[in-house]
Amino acid sequence: MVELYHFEPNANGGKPIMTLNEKGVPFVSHWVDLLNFQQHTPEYLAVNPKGQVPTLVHDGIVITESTPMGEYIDEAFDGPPLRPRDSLERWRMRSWSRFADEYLGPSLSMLGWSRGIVPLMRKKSPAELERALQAIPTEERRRAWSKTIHNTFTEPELEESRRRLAVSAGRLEAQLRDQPWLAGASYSLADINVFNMAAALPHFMPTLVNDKTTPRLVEWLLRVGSRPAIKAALALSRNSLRPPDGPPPAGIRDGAR
Amino acid sequence: MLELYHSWPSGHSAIALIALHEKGLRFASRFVELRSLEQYSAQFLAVNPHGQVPVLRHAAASITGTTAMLEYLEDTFPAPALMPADAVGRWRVRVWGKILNEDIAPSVSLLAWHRWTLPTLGPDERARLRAQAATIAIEERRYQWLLALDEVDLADRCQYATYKLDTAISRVEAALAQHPWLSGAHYSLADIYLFPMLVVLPRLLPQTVNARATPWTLAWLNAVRERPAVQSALSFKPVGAVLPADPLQTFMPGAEPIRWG
Repeated sequence: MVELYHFEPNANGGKPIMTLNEKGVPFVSHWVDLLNFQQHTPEYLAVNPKGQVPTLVHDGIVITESTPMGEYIDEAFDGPPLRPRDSLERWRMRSWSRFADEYLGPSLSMLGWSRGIVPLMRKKSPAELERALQAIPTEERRRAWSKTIHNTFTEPELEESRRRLAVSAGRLEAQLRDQPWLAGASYSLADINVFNMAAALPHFMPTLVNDKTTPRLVEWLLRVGSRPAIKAALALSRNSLRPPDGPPPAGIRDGAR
Repeated sequence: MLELYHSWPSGHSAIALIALHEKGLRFASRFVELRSLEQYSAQFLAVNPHGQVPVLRHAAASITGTTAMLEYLEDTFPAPALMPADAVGRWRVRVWGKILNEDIAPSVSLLAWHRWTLPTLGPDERARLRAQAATIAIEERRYQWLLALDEVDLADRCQYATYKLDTAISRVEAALAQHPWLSGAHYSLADIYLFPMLVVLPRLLPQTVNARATPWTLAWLNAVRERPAVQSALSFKPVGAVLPADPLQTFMPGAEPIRWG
């Protein structure tokens, strides 16, 4: 049996949903409400002691960390391969996945949290938020949530995140100039991993990422987004992150790895 | 032909050297002198625009990023196998790779640089490095070097690095209490990833890594160190290079920790 604990199908949480869909693997979906801190409850910490989503449970074996989880899913299940056969293309797949994890993802997430989650947290009582902070199991997650709850993002760090998004858009546009997919000739986990972050770029940087300035990146986003597996994953959204007066701040992740 | 651009055998360069020796692969060594910031020279940036070592040249491509490089070696030269035969074991290796990249490597290089390497530099050498670092064209690298040389927010950054390493070590100790190698019953890339970083911890963080608190980790360090390929890699002498007095313990400012999330 395959069970997946996840929140909205974006950022790291979207990756395994899309990967399982691409492989045609049915799974039991467990929604973890990050905005109400369900990820830090004893019940969830029993599944994943780090209090992060997504978590895959395959015949009782707990698989965490969405990027290695993607390779696990590709290896453990039948269905179309999502890793290139050629070892250089595989190296490229892993390099782009790491870029999403360490460069694009954190920058996007910092902006997403400061814009999207800060206002949602203001609706909660200080006592509730203080209790929620105390329950966070790891120092890095406590730092992130404390910053969001108290809105202590600094302008230089937000500016650095915007700069990195611009650099990321440029790198992606250049990579897609000569090849249809990020790793090369075939669609791979790199496309899934980067798509989950980069899908938010036109929303965050509309003057830098659009069909005029980055036509290949936009075309690739549309091409990935139109795949049935991706569409089915996105249809699981409950719009938890959509503010009452605007589009959803895409690319928000919590404690997601 | 394989070529490896690398520095002295510590940290990430040691990881690449150990993997090549374990695979029994012949390679041409290209030494990069990090102490004169040769990694940011135009010649080296043509090999790796990110200005980082090690870089493997193979099939007319530059293979960068140590964890992805070792998987490339495994995919290209499968024997002797350094990845577990089962999918769960391979998943474990990749999780250790992430822990290396995101938690262990930035923290070890931060602490080792400030405690060991920076104090050995005289005022003239610091001034020279400071002037040179200000000209690094890669924004993130320049920023890291200036933080490292000016010791900005040092106490806070060292405290966070220590927390990260304490957390990582407790995972290492727990894994090694279960099985002899990090990913299970067999030596694998995971052991190669972590050894060059963790081998300095009995000296760098003696309150965390010691015979009483982490007996399994110490036994594992000895087991890895005894492997012939590891010994050859650590004693590898690049032609024409002047090595630091204690190569394994000499670290330069490394990759930044993950900024957020």
